Amino acid sequence: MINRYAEASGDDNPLHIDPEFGKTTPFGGTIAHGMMTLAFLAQMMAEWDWSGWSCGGELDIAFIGPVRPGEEVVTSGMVREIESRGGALYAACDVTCAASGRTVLAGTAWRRLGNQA
Amino acid sequence: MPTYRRYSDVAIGDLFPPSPSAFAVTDAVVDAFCAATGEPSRRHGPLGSGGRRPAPPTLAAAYIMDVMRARGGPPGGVHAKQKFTFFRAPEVGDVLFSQGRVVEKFEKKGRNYVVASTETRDAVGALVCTGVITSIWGFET
Repeated sequence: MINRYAEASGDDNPLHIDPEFGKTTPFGGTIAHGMMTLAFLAQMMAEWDWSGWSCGGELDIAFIGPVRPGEEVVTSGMVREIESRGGALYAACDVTCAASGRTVLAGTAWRRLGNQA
Repeated sequence: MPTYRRYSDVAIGDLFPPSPSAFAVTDAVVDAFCAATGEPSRRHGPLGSGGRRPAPPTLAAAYIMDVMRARGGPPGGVHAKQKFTFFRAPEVGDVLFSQGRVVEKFEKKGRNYVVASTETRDAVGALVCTGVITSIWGFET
């Protein structure tokens, strides 16, 4: 899957696709693209509300740890608060991704709810 | 002799590439991205207002790739943080134009970091996506 993502995204950083290069890094092997993990998170937001995510959605996340080949990524989110900005309402959500029980991504994602009444 | 750009050569305000890079959103591109990220085989999202097939907003990873290559750097860089604002979903038929700018450099725990903003517009100049990417610079030899 990682190699397929490299081809689809154009990101051929050897850290993701070259096992011999990966061994020379602090990770000790190849890891998944951060953007691939982010795509999983984005799928969750899009399934929740395609319109509110694709038109006005935002995210601000940090990649906390590596996802290694063969691991399963679990995404989750929780609405923290409803924000009012620029005449629109947004659901601010705490979001995380985990692999093998370790948090690998964390931050905030916003779904646009609509214009403020 | 390394062929990559060195951290010391990166300057705040650097614009890359010099002119926005173009990316054509095609059915093949969207199919490949969806397959690579485990998206269902359905057409992603309802059709846009013009009846065009939308792509996942995180197709941004693909259409800013040429921007990141233009920024340069040694192999092995690590993606540390990411911000995105999605103004609309890319659609098949779009040609998107992206460009980046270095906004910050810093060192932390012995590693060099570069922060860059990115902006993507469609063919009529409307914003599609903006972003801020924080990268851990790869080791230089």
